[in-house]
Amino acid sequence: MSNLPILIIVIPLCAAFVISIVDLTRVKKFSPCLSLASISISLGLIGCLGPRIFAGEQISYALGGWQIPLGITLLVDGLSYFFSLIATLLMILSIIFSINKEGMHHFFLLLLYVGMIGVIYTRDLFNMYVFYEILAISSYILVVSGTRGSLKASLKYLFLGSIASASFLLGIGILYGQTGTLNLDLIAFRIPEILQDNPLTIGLVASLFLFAFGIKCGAFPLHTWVPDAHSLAPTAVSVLLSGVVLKIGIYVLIRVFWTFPYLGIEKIIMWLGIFSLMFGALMALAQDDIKRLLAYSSISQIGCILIGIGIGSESGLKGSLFHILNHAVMKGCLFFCAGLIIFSTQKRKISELKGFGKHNPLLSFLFILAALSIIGIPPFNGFVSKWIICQGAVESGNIFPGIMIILASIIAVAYYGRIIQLFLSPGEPFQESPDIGYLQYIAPCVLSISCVLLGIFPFLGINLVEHAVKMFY
Amino acid sequence: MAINISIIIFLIGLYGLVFKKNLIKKVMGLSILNSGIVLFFVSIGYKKDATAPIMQEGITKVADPLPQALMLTTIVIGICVTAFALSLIVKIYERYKTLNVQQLIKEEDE
Amino acid sequence: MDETNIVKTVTRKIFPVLVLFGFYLVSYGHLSPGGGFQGGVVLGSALILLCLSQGIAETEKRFRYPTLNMIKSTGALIFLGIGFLGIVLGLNFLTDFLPTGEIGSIPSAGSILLLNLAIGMKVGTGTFLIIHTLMKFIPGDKNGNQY
Repeated sequence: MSNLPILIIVIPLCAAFVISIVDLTRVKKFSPCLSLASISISLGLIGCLGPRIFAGEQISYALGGWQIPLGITLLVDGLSYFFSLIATLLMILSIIFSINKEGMHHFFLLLLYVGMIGVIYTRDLFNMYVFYEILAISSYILVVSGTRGSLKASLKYLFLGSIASASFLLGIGILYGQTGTLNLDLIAFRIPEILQDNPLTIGLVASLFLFAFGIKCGAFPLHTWVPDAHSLAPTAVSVLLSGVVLKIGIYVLIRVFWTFPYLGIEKIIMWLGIFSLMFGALMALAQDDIKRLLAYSSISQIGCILIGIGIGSESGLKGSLFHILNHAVMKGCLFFCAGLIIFSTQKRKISELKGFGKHNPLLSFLFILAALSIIGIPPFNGFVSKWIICQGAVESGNIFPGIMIILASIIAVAYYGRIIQLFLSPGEPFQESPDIGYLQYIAPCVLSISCVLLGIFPFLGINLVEHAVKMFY
Repeated sequence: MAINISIIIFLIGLYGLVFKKNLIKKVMGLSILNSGIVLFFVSIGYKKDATAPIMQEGITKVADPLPQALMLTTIVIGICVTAFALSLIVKIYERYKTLNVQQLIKEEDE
Repeated sequence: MDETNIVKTVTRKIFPVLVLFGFYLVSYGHLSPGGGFQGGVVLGSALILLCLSQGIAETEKRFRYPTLNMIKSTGALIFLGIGFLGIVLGLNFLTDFLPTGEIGSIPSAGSILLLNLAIGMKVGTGTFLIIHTLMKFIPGDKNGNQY
């Protein structure tokens, strides 16, 4: 029972390689069931860990029996548990949504999951780099789809992601040269003395990490891969990219910058957040393609999350983490609905979607629900997390980010409102569309019900977040 | 000294990745970037008058084996990324008949 | 690819020596420079050499794609299986459960030898499959010659 952290990572990995063998035999059609089964087992194991984490325990696991400082350790504490829960839930919904795809697609989805959970649980910097590369390479491969332009989008993502990984590795190298160890806890222990001897080296490492994870999480000047990759990928992959992969970059930022604190880096993160917020909102106003609009909206929300982290107070971090959960749920629902809309009408442009409400009322209802939450209207969950971030901003004496968030929400009313208005107005009927199976509706329905639940009973989410934030304050 | 050379190789690779217009040259820049990082790490583990880190009798001063082990993994990852980038380039050439970045961007705007 | 007879014959004769060298590197990984990845790349290079000199069609008749794919995935599963054996025996994942023998002989250093063999299997077939996939899909002219 104490082997749980590693089993959560290894069981999907085994299932992935079994799928790659099964794909060559005659029982090909069982691959999706196998991947669903393995992620369900992981979800069950995470559920088993739950009570122990909520009781305040931190579960540490040494791989191979080698203890610190020789070995690699995994640590499951409040923050890791929170992120792994989001990753697993979105992953299950994505696999259910893409149950008809071929075996190798599921192979790469499982590798993506292994990479995500590996980055979240590990305590060793180089192990984090290796798992991040598994995550990144699987996502480069998954972005390639049948859509026109997806090859170029994947190549652009590949080049930018490789520059980011190389900077991360360079930072790890400099840090290892200075401290002589790769374990995050030991580095946090040795940093204060090095900070006195040569602060410039630590400043260089901090800027390399910020550059690397700015690219990975889609902050303003380093966001250029996000619109292409998120809009041209297959739908389930867009959900995972927007909902989890961007957030893993933020997770590493939180881990690295809270384990070794630097003065002044929080201001830079906050300003990056403010620029991403306004840039994403303004660019989304000008978009006609529905998935590209959702991708720019992702950049805007990542800006909101970065503001919350950059504020530095407890409310700011709490609001950010809750917004990470909310954005995963809301943006996941929006992308699933957008994918089904594109599948059933074969049209990607918003201007051609007039009157869709009459064509498929359920889908429009789910889309409108999620769009209202992401704008930040009161009974839904987006409002709660943005409110907590603004409250944190005001508490720490800096009112400008709060005003920016409210301004960006007003701009969001404009670009989501246009879609809602086009759905609800009468238009010419669409041609006969392919039938959407019941299985495809499960994912957006579950996510929009969670939007409403988390909005009406926010303590469900805040409870999870409290345990995550407890270890920092 | 080796650390300085590795930073120069890293910057040459970065220049190739960012400023060259042909896709294959960009991938070559990526490969040079990876080599620069490998050299950087290995030269961090350098100790004067030390031998290879293999355990035999009578050897006391060995170079640091940890960066060398890490770099094996890094080289593997570099191979995978380069292989995938090249296969994407093969498909892009088949589709668009050009490898020039400017022309590929112009295609997108149409 | 139309290579001369000298190239074709010499590469056919060198191929087993390369494979032997690859296995040597893999199995002496814990005693001298080498190991799973390095030996695996040499094994892969042996197959690639065959592929470059004889042409992809000939090589594919002898080293078939489904078989190599199966070997590749089996290598990964053996690695994970050895890790699981650690859990089954009550220790942590990937613990050394074989005894460490004397320094300098092959069966020493615990389970590293088995892990190296599994990695060598996977990396060798993996690198060859990358080149095989790239070579198969490069468009050629009507006679089947590749550019």
